[in-house]
Amino acid sequence: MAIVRSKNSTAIWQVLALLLSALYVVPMLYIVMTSLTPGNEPVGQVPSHLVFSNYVDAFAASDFGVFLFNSVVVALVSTAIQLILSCAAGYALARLPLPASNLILMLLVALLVVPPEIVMVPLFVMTKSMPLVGGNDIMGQGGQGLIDSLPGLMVPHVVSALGIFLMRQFYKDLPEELGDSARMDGASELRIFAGIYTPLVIPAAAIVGIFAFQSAWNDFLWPLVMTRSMDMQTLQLGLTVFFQENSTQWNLLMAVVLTISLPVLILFLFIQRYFRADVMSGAIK
Amino acid sequence: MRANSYERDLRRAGYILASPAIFLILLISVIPLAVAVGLSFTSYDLFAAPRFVGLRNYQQLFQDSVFWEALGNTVTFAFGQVGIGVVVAIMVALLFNQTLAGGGIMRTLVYLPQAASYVVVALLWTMLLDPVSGPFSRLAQGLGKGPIYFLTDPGLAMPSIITMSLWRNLGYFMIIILAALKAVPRDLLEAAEMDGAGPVSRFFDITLPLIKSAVFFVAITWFLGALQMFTQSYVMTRGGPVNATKTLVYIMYEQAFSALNIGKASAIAVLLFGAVVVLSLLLRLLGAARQRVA
Repeated sequence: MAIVRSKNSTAIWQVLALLLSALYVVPMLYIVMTSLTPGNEPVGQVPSHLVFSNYVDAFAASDFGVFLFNSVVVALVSTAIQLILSCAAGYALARLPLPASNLILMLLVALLVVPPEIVMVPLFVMTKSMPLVGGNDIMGQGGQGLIDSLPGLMVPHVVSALGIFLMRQFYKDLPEELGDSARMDGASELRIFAGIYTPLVIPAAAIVGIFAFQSAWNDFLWPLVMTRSMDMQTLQLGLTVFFQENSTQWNLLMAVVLTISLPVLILFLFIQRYFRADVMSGAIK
Repeated sequence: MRANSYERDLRRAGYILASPAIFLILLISVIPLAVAVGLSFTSYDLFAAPRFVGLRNYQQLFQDSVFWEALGNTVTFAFGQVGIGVVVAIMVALLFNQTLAGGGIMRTLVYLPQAASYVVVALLWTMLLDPVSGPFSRLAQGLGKGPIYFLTDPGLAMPSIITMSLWRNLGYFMIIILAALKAVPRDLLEAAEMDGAGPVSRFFDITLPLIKSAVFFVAITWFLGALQMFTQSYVMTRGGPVNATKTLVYIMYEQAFSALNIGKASAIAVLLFGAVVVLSLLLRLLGAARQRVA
């Protein structure tokens, strides 16, 4: 009796789970289908034949090649900077005597909940008035600062409280004795950091790296306010502009949508086994 | 002597490694917050020097009906998405807590939109919700009803954006609740079943109290994120129809970059920051009583 009931309920759970998955699979397949639909056929119907050249046409329809370049440079460079800074500061907070390290830690934890949108306007003012760049004088006047430049696009992504905080947790999980024996052999502190501890946190650093890459790659509001010229647009921004000017070319739009989502999707699939709740909710440990 | 130089080495390494990151954190997060507070008391158009105007920006905001509309829309969006979302996330987590064929793959599918940007998800849903070619509207027409103007009907635009945001964010919060569910001791549930407790009372009497802190964590972090909504409205509706989907971040953007009213935009940022501080203090209070979810 008990077994029969549990078999029935298992079947119900299974059906519900499949229905739920369909809510996610169908829209994703819809994107693929639309991206392969010929331009003269209505979207949302199975196309008479598949047009793979949509992918080429889409990237030719606007400066998507330029946007792709900008997105790749901004995301990769800011991820690299953020990783180096997070490892260095995370290690120092975990393993080295720092004055006020508790205060710094409290500040980082407090900043975890401050969304980047809140500082967007003052950060814009500050990047615009940065002294001695973009035609600015030493007082930060006269030019446009970092506005409309690739370094300007990287500004909010080069460091994050979450990255430092997570790296500190990862370094702290490693045994202290590792460094002590190297110290006996006369290794310098920087060598112990770079040569002994850091190779051991590479898998964990990958998570921080992917968070960083994703936040830069998917960012929209900052490129929107930072960019003046078409040459500096990123993929997310360029796609939005293209959509608002050609709102009916769904086949081309979906080709771009799929292309620009794939890098992050693939990264996610690679590391999803590391996505444990304790990492994602690290904020309040 | 040796011990002293050793201590000094450690200290110096600490300074060298920590200061670049700390400096940049101060520069791009802490100082801008202070700058926002300062600018909120000024009139500033990015060209002429800022002029001190006291509380005028705040007074003007409080008298501006668009501000109250945006505040209302933001609160509607946050409560709508999170209120429905938390219940749905618990139900879906309960579902994935069962033994299912292909459970891992299905879980990944639900989680996957999280990796896509809001721009991408917004474009996908704009296509799905299209009154002419979109599947939902076509289905309605097939049933003999007229086309549905999801994004241009003032009564439907915000619910549509809530649905789309819920669809994207569900997976992330579901996984946090699922981790908490997995930590609920199985023998406790089995003992209750032996005593004749049905599935509903087992959930409310045993499971829910044990996952309560994870649920609060999800509710507050989700709400905090929802308060910043911008991209969905910008891409899908441009804040319309008639301000129906304008949020606080949206009018902050408009004030700063269309009206060049940096002072007023900063005042909106300061008010948003106040809301974030209150909510995160709430989170901290809960966190003190909360055990790790994993």
